[in-house]
Order: sequence, then structure tokens, then C-alpha cells
Amino acid sequence: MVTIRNIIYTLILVIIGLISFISVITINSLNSFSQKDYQVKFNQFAAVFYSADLSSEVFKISPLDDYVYTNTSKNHVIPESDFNKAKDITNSFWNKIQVLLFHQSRIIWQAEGKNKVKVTYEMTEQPNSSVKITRKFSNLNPDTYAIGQSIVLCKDCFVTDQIKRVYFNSSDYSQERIRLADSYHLIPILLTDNVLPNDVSRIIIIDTNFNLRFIIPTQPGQQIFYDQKWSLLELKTPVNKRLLETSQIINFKNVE
Amino acid sequence: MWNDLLFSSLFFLAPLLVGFNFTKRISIAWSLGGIMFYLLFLTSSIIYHSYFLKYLLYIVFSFSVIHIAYKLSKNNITLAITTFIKKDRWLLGYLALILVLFSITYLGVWKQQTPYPLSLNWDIFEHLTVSNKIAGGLVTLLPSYITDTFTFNGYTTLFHTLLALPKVINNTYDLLGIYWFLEYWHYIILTITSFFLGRKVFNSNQAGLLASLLSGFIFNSSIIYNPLFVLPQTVSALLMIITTYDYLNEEPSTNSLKSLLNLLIPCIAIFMLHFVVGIVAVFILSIIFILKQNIFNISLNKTALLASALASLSFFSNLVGNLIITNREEANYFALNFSEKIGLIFDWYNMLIFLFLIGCVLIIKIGLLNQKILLIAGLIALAISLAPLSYFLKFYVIAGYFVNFIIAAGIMLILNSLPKKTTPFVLFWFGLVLSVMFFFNQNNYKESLYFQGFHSNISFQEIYTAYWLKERYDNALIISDPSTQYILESISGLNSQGGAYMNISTRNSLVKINALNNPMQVRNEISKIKDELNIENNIDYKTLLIVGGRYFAWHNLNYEQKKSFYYNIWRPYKINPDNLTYINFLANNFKIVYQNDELVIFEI
Repeated sequence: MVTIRNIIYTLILVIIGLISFISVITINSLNSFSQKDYQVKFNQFAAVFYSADLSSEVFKISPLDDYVYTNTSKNHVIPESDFNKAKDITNSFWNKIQVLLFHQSRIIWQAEGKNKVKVTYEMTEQPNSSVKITRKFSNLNPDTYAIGQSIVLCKDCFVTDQIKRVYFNSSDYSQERIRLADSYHLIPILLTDNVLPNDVSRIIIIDTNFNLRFIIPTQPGQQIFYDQKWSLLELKTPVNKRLLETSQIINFKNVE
Repeated sequence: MWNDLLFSSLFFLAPLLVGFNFTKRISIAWSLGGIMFYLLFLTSSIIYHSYFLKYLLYIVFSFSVIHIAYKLSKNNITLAITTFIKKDRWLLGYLALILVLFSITYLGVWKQQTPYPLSLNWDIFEHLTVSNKIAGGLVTLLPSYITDTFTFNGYTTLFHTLLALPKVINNTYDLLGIYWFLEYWHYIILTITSFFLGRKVFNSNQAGLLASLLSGFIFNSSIIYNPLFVLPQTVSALLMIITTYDYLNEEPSTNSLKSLLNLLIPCIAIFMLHFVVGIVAVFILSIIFILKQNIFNISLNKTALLASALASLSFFSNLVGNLIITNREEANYFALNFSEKIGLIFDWYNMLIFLFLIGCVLIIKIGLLNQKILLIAGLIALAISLAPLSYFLKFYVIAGYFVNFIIAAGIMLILNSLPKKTTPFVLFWFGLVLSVMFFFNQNNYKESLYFQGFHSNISFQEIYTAYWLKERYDNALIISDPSTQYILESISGLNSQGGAYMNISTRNSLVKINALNNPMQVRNEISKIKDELNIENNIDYKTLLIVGGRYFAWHNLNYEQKKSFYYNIWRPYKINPDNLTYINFLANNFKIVYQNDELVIFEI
């Protein structure tokens, strides 16, 4: 005979199993963005973007590479000696519940330093194979007027722009790479002080086979630096002292 | 490859074979056999000859097989087996189901893109390093005495001695392949042990199957790594569970003293396998003993409530903060806060963790004696492992078994209230849910180890390089980034300074070398790198500088990362065009002896 107690017990078992089943599928399908042009993984010090099949690193971001500008100094957001801990909040219980309930495609990584500085990197899926990276800072120096949004590029990649210029540091370049760039009809530019020209509206990163890796549209007021030795691209971005937050869009496909 | 399947089973079978000469109890037999092998190796190392130990092992195995066969023939084993089968016709069916299910899971899912002999377990390389040395005749009590890869001693070399057995019998065996299959045997034994314990405690094959499903499909994918990794701590915990089963399976008429003595030898082996996890495992076994013997005449329900309060207090105290134990640099990374611990539990169990709570309540209300004992032991183990102290989460390797049993209890005790017809459906339903959870969980673990179509910590090119090194050199000092030398040392048998645990001085030398463009300075800096063990430095050896994808990936890290033991280049990398400038500089000044698209070896 079927009793109410039997029904309740059966429902408990079925519902717990069903919620587990659905949530594990949903959360895991959202951990890497659904367009599958890239995957984001974290190590102890950086958020790393890989190609979709994880065969190569495309770029990485880290508070150890980002810069803080005040009137008197330029320092890393969290210096190496102050680095305390980083955590992938994407997989924290609360973020997973939010993802389940609101179906947001969002990956969050947070780092903090012994100097109490905290930076949260939010990576949000955008249309047309893009990702928006928002950096939110707390406990920075109150005199901060700009943030250097740094991206460590793939080691063998070229930095080019919308009019096919390719950039090298005058202190650190090789003839082989210039010849290779030339073979792709790119115009080599030697930077004497690592600063890209003001008329760059799109930074286009390509690999040695002339395959597009990603594009960064620049914003007004930004100054762009490229240090070839460390494969470091820095976009110095003015910030509002009340809202210490910056964002940038990374396009993985060429959408004009 | 198929030889490795057979010989990898020696880790478990060989001690059993020897121990069965003295006792029928599996936990005592394996422990006794293991300890005997350990002592045999230690004493024979005094008079070690390359063939002595091998022939001694042949004699020991032959004697054991003959003796056991004689005992079995005297006891009419055929009658015993048929009686056993008639008593429970379905038992073989359940065992077959578990064997097939988890063989498919291990080979078809977990190792799907990790073919023999690639590895997903980073820690195996340090154990291979020690076992290779033992197989070569360098036997010792503690691992740090024979290799500076170990900077402290968390265990004796019992684990490594048993791992070395195939190579002692035949020194052409490569332990890397042995390890690949060893983890399969460990997985099968673990799931079958869980079945028998669940079956014993709930007096039901279905409960045993449920316990087995939970043990096999809940992958603790961070810090603990049960049930898929063979490590000293996981084997220690497995032996504890087998001992628990043996103890609960004792005849009720067994007196307390005999029971205690029966626990003694397994406890010694558990401790020898891993000192710290072993102490906690022995403590948990003592709790089980005290409760079963009713020594203090305490109410089990009240004890269970007290234990659950303790576990809750331990868990919620993480909200206050964490205490960092030891001044080791990695300690900070093993101090997880409240949110991180909840995150891990949710990753591993998802909503099934609510069945744990239901299981606790139901066991207290309507559970049987053994179920209550396991509940109390489990809650105490959980309290220890969830404590807000760095490294303590590693004790979850013990607590995890009990959590799985309590979840199984939650399901079974609910099922007992339902018509029997629902049982197969519920088992199938949870089998499905658990297998899906397992699939995603293990996939998440493996993803960051993807390289050229495989998921692995090492590549085939690195393995071939190591084999080449083994053939070419008798004695050499490998100098490379921590990960490369760690892997090559373990497979080739050549030496490195510290493997993945190279000291700060060597790390600083490597950083300097990469910035130098004067070959004399490079040579001078390399000459400063010495093994921390004098026995290694007293041998004539060649010095090999190995650069490659991993090496340059390591040099791309910042200095804090380079200093860190906790951070490694966990997967292989190819050499990319930007590295060629530096490689050409080295090639112009030092002799290249080997190269492929991942590594170049220079003889200095």
C-alpha cells in the first residue's frame, strides 16, 4: 500500500538526486564559456586563458602584472613580496548558486595581498566570441589615478594594430621575427620607449602562423605599453577615485 | 604492458601471500607480510647482492604458495566455497557488477585520454625515485636518507619497498607502467572493500553496492585524491577500512585482549605507511574498538550527539579563521577557509551531502550497533579533518570513507521504509547521478593537464628521453627546472638536486644561468649545484643541463613563483620558437647529446 510517508521519502531521494544531476551538468557547462573559443583556468597567481582545446595559452592576467599609478609612483597592484593568496570564487558555493539561479556566464577570480589590497577579476561572456574582463579594486592608495591593465601574451605572438603595424621593442627584437612579420605584409615599428602610438584603436594579437588570437579595442584616454621581453601588454587606464574599477573587452574573433 | 598488469598486483598480493601463512585475516596478513618484506629488504641490504634478494623472494613466494595450497587442501576448500555461494547466491553477481562497472570507469573514463603509462598523479614520481633506489639495493628506513627529493619524512619506506618488488624480481621492469595498473588494483580493492563493509554493517547486498558506488564515484579531486590515486596516505586509509571490516566481522565470542592484539599489527603497518595519517587512523580504530567493546559503558546515542556537536564546532570554527601549522611555505595553501571547504564539499557531493545529514539523524534514531559505531567514528574523523588548521583537511582521506557510509545509510534507512520493489530503481537512480557527478568532477581535474591530445602530467617524449638517459648514463646529475628534473629522475634513475623540491640555492642558480650570456659563467654557476646527500656527491658523475618547454615555462614565472614548492609546471610544453635563441647560445658552447621537440640535453 502506498502511504504518504512512502511518497515523501521517495520524493526526498528523487529530488536530491535530481538537483545534484541538474546542478552538476549546469555548473560544469558554465565553467568554461559556452562559445568554446577559449577556456579559463586558474593557477595560484593568475587567471589564464587557453585555446578551446587547452593546447596553448593565449594570455593571462594577474595582479602581479597589473599596475597602480599614483601621483608619485607606479607599482604592481600586489607586489610579489606581498602576494598572499588567490582563489577561484567561481567555484565557491555562493557563486555556483547564483550561476544556477540567474544563469549568468561569469567567472570570478579574486586575489589579495598582505598589504590588504584586494582585486576581483570578473570575466563575463559577451556576444560574438568576446569576454569582458572587469577588475574591481579595494584598499588601493587613495591617490590612485590610473590602472595599468596588463595582459601577458602568448610568447611567440605578435602585437599588431588595425593598420597592420607590428610592434617590437628597439632594445629586444630578433631579425627572424621581423622577417617573419614582413612576410605577412606587416609594417615593423621599433618602439623606443615601449609606448604604442595614440592612433591605435584596435590591438590585434596574432601568432607566428598569422592566426588571430584575440583583439582588444582600445578606449579613449588609454596609453598602451608593450614590453616584448616579458610579453607584457599594458593598457594604462584612467580611473575614477570613487569607483576603482576598469573593464576591457577581448574579442576572439574579428568582428568589425 | 600486460606484464605490468600482473606484476603491479604484487603490491597487494605479495604481502597477502606471505601473511596468509600465519593468519586468515586479510588486514593482519597484508600488514604482517608487508612488514616482513620491509624487514627482509632492510636486513638483506647489509649483505645485498644483485641476485640475492631476487632469489630470496622466489623462495619466499614458492614456500608461501605451497604452504597455502597444502592448508587449503586440508580444509576442503571446494566444500567451503560452494557452501558460501549457496548461502548468498547473489554475492558473486554483485561482485561481478562492481568489478565490471569500476573497471569500465577507471579504464574507459578516468584513463580515457591517459593511455599507459602516462600519469595523472603528480606525486608518483617521488615514490618512483625512492622505489628505484630500493630496487637498486639502496634500502633504508626513511626516504630522505636516500634521496633529497624528500625534505622531510612523513613515512617509512614500506610503501616504496612493496612498490619496488616487481623491479627486484626483474630489473627490466619500468615502475612507471607498474604504477599505472597499481592504481587500478587500488581502485577495485577499495570499491570491493566498501561493498563488504556496507554489506556487513547493513546486512544487505544492496547497501554494500550503494557504499561501493559512493566510494567509487565520489572523487576527492583536491588535496585528498581518493579513490583514484595510490599514495602512502590513501593506502594507509584503505588498510584502516579493511581492518575495520575485519574487526566488525570478528566472532562475537572473541575476547577483548585477542581483539586488541588482532588490531595491533595492522595499526603498526598503517602507521608505517604514513605517520601522520596513520596516527589519526589508529586513533579512529581505537574509538571503534572502545565503542564495540563498550569499555566505558556509554550510551551510543549520546556519544553520537556529542560527536556531531564536535564536528559542527570544528566546521563552523573555520568562520573565525585558520591557524597555519609549520613555517613551510606551502602551509598557507593548505589552510582552506570556511567558504573554500564548503566549495570542496559541494564539488564532491553536491546535494547528496544532505543525505549525510539525513543519515546521521536516522542512524541515531533507528540504526544498529555497528552503524552507530561507524557514525561516531566518522563524525570524529570529520571533526579532525574539518578543523581550521592547515594540512588537517588531508585527514579527510580517512573521514571520506565514513561520510560515504553515512550517506549510504541515509539512503538505505529511507529505502527500508519503502516497498522492496523500489530498491533497484533507487540504486540505479543514484548510480546514474553519482556517475554523472564523477564524470564532471574528474574531467575538471584533468582539464588543465591537456597536452597534444592527452591528459597527463608527462608526455611520451619525456618518457622516451628518460629511457634514453637510463641507457646512456650510469651516473649523472640532471639540472633543469623542478618539474622536468623531478620526472626525469624518477624514470631514468639518474640523480637531481631535490627533484621538484630543489632548494632555494639551486633555484637561484637556475635563475642566474638563464640570464647569463657568458658560457664560463654558466659553467661556474652549474658547478655550484650539488646534491644535498653526500652519498650522491661522492660518485663520479656527468652533469646534464636539460632545457625545454617546461624549463622555459618555469622561467616565465615571477620570482615568488620560482621559489615556491607549491607551484610547478604540471604538464608538458613544447619548445617554442622564442626559446631557440637561448638554445642556440647553449649549443654554441656546450655539447648537445639529445633533443626532441620538448627537450634538449647538454652535457656540461
